[in-house]
Amino acid sequence: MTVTRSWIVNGERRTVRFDPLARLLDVIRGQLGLCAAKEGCGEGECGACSVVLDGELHLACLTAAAQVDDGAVLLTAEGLEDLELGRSLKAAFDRQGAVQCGYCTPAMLLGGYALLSNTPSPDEEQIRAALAGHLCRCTGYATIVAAIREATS
Amino acid sequence: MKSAFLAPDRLDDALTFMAERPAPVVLAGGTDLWPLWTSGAVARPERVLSLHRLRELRSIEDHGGAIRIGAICTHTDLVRSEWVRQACPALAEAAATIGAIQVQNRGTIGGNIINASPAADLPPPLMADDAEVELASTSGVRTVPLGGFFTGYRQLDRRDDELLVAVRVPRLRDGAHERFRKVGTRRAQAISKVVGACRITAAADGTVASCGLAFGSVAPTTVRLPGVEEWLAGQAPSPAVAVEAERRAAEEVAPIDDLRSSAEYRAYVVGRLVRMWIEEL
Amino acid sequence: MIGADQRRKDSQSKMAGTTRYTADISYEGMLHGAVVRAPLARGRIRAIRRVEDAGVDWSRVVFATAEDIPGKRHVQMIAADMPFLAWDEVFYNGEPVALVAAESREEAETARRAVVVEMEPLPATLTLDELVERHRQGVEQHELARWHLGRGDVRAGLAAADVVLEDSYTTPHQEQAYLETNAVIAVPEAGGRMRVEGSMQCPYYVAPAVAGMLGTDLDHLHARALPMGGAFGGKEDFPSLLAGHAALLAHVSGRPVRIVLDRAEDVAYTTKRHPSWTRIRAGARSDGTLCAVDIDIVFDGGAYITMSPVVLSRGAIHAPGAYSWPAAEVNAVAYRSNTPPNGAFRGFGVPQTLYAIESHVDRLARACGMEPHAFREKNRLREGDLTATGQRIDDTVASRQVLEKALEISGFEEKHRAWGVFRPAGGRAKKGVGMALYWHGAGFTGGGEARIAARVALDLRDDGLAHIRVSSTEMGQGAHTVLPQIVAETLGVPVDRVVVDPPDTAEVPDSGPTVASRTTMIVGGELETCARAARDRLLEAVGRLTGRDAGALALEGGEIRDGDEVLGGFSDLLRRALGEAGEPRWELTSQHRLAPHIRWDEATHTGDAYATYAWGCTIAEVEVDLDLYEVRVPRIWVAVDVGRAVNPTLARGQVEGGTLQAVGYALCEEVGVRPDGALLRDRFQTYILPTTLDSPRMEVALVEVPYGRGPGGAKGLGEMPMNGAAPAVANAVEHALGIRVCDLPITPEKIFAALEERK
Repeated sequence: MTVTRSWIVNGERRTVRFDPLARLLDVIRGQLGLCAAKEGCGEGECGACSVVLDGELHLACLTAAAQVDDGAVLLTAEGLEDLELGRSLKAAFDRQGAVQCGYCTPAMLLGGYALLSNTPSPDEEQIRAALAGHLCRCTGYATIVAAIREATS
Repeated sequence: MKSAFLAPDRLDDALTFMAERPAPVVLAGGTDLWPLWTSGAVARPERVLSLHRLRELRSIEDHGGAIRIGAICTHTDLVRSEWVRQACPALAEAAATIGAIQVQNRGTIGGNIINASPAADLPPPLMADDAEVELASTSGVRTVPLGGFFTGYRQLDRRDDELLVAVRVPRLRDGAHERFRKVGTRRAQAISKVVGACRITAAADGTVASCGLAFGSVAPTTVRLPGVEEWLAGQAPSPAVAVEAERRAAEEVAPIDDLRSSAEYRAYVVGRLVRMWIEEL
Repeated sequence: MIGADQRRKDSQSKMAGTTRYTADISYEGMLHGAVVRAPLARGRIRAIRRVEDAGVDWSRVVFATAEDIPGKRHVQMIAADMPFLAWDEVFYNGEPVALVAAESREEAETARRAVVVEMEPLPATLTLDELVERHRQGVEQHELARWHLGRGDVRAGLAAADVVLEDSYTTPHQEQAYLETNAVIAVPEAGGRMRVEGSMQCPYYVAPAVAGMLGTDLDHLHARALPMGGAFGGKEDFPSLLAGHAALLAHVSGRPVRIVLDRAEDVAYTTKRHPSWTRIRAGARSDGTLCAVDIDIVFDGGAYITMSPVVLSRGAIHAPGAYSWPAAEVNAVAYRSNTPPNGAFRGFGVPQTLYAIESHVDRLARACGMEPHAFREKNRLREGDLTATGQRIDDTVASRQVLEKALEISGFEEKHRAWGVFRPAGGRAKKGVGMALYWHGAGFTGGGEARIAARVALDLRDDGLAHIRVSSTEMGQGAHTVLPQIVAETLGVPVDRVVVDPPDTAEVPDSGPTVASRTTMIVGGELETCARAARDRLLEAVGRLTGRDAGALALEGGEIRDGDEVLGGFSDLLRRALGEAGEPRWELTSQHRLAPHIRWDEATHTGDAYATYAWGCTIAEVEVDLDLYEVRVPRIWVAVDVGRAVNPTLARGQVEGGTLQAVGYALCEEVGVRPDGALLRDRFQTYILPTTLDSPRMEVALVEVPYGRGPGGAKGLGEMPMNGAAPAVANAVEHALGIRVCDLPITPEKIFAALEERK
């Protein structure tokens, strides 16, 4: 029994077909070929699989693809270049040195995007709370927080 | 092996599926089930009943003396709900400590209860508030006090054909206040070492009229502390009462050592939290 | 260029998600591999059975055991004691015994579960506690490595001391927890060749190991390092084993095979930081002058040798700390335990022993009635002092600068007097502040760099670019940005004219492994030499091309000039010059030679342990909740001596990242061992890494005291930040509470137990 869905992915309508119990992460990476979302732990602890689903940040490794209904709007890191807020976040990350190994980066950018879309001028505590579901082992978080602060101004 | 994915948009249809033998595995947000399926600890089920299209299970209703929270309300729904924050603030606070934003956007109150982990974060404030769960089936609706719902380690008073559809939480009244505290291994994305909540109602003369003290991660299920609660009833809050309550609470629980914490520390934390809550009165 | 906050060359693709890590790459016909593992910590294999009727079509599954290995059965490392696949004796729970590969990951997982390894158990040793107990009793145990070093008369020194303090300190396994798990792909190529590519720090470790296993040579087996999602040492020695597994499956099946470890498997079975026990007996005179120190170290090496000799060596050499001791003795041993072999993790033995000595020195200071900074200022190593190996430190010692800078930016002195256990408690928390002064030898120990004899190449090619060909890999630290910066500066071109070729053993020379804080200093230094030669070569050719005197030409800012006259751009003139010569490229090479004055005797551990040291000082502020004993670290200040920061942003990034890893080491990270020998906290749900809400605000000061032999004055930096935060936090907790927890991590449970005991 194959499930078929039609989603808006990074602004484009895409049709996908998958097994009933496929994870959203596997459909995004496999069928849609969008590999920015990573499998860091498979159990929802590291945040590297984060995507923005209908305006909310979700973990694709904990999401059944079949629960994402037709017409759902998905934003992955690949889609940030087309969005003004996405571009300013990336510029800020680059300037602040918030990218090291890059594995947490796509998800971090989406976390920043989700935060700033709802809270345009967060303070440091709010930034840290919003990103608490994204583990980074390289940066100590300092440059990431600084990048998001820079992107708010 | 290909599974069947059932996603009804009417509750009646969902209940009909639940009456099948064997019953399908119910999927709400999936934040507890997916790690088990991905790791292979639990085999992927053959039939899954997804609740995500059952809009009626995502409502929050004001029923006067209580609020009724639909089972698939997410933790974010609870955090954002003005009604929840007023009627049972400890519940909203608890929802805000679960995982992190991404998990709160997906995890549900129903799932947090049904997963039946003794470390779950929502049962303590719910139990302290004398909440009830509504279980629906093709035979009708049954209401069970949450205190009696957890019957043993990961065991529930739920028939295979019953679906948890809502949680009723008595409203916080004048003269009462609630507290919540989760003690975890870190400040986010943590399974609790101890998680607790209280709802304390004061009488007109300032003595304790009634209190609910509930803790997780200190027993095979979330538990109340009936001994301390009974002793506190009628007491006038004072530093001496707080210290004695601490001693009694620490002795009333029998937690274990595990990879997160020690029995001694857990018992101490239970006592200390009770004391802190009394001291605030 | 050098000293510029050059943007990373790879940040655009990493942010766009187009960087291809190993798990993002597939090949046609590729199979998914999985490792079948031993279920007991110690024993003998009786049978390896494929179960029928387990839902597996074995005709569709590739299966391999040690019997299928064409060449060497043991992984070539420092020693060759670890088998790719066990066939008789098993030494740890989870030891690889067989391999399967199938068309999908699900099928491979099902097949893996359908292989039964029957074993006869033998007694096992599982914990550091057991090793230390026997060590203290003088019971003989299986040694993986042992070193002794020291000078002076320690006995006399301690006898002459006014204050003598003895205690022991323990540290647990620490998991590197790179966000990208270990992964590798083996791809058969034409002509009987094979390529292994994947997440690896050292392609020149992997290639000989895998070639040896296949019974072939480096002409037929090459290893290519792909971009890594973090490594921190966890992909230094382990990839040789995993690449061997993938290669064996590819060899048996003739198809590409990819193995990606899932997180639980990665945490459970790959290398960790060695658990340690360090007993220190140290004496000082009442005026605070250090007299003598006697240090006894036990490391738990896990089941096989892997990196233990070098990790232990480094730990032992640094164990006396950044101080001048008239007499010092260090005895260090690594014993085998029946747990997964431990290996490299940033700091490489030093975080363990520095945690011990910096905790101990802090207590000695208090016993002498001196403040922590004053005590350290009095005793820190200075130019001309001798270390415990007898090395006279002749080049610049920045111990004073980092100490002063850290004190300045943190306000340590006032805080130390204003806070602490004896200060009036306000509210329900106690504040404390603590410091650590530390050092880290840059580059390989002793003669290591002579053995490696790093070779680098720089090509000027007909695409108009300079190509760096080195075996140094990019794991996030920024090597593939910093090395181009060094070359660009010396060559006289913008950074975008310099690229780094993929580190593939078929294409690049062996510059040594990307470890030991050596890449910028050693590899960068040799590239600087090549860049000078490249510039001269190009100017000479342009001189001939244009009929001008090469001596009058200069290459600056990407333009070749004769005085004020611009002759043309670098790329254009390079292409023309090569075209004129009929050559596709010029290759400039250089090889590192150990500085001639370095004298090191490995057997006795005497002499010049490192060409140079880097120095650091970390100051941590803590707040301890007096009800629940949770420790928060609101702020950390770090001053590090980097010689010269080639890229200040990247250098700060190293310090911030390493500091948080060390805070995790101090407060929440530990793995533990189960009774059956499997590791206890084997997932991200249970192995606790700090989140944004757990991490301090950090202030980093880069101190620059140029190192004569480093490019632009730079010296090694990558590991140093790992050394300071744990003892600084431990010292701050003692300052706040008056109790000392000598066993990392410092959890609320341990604080509670210590306070209960004190009552």
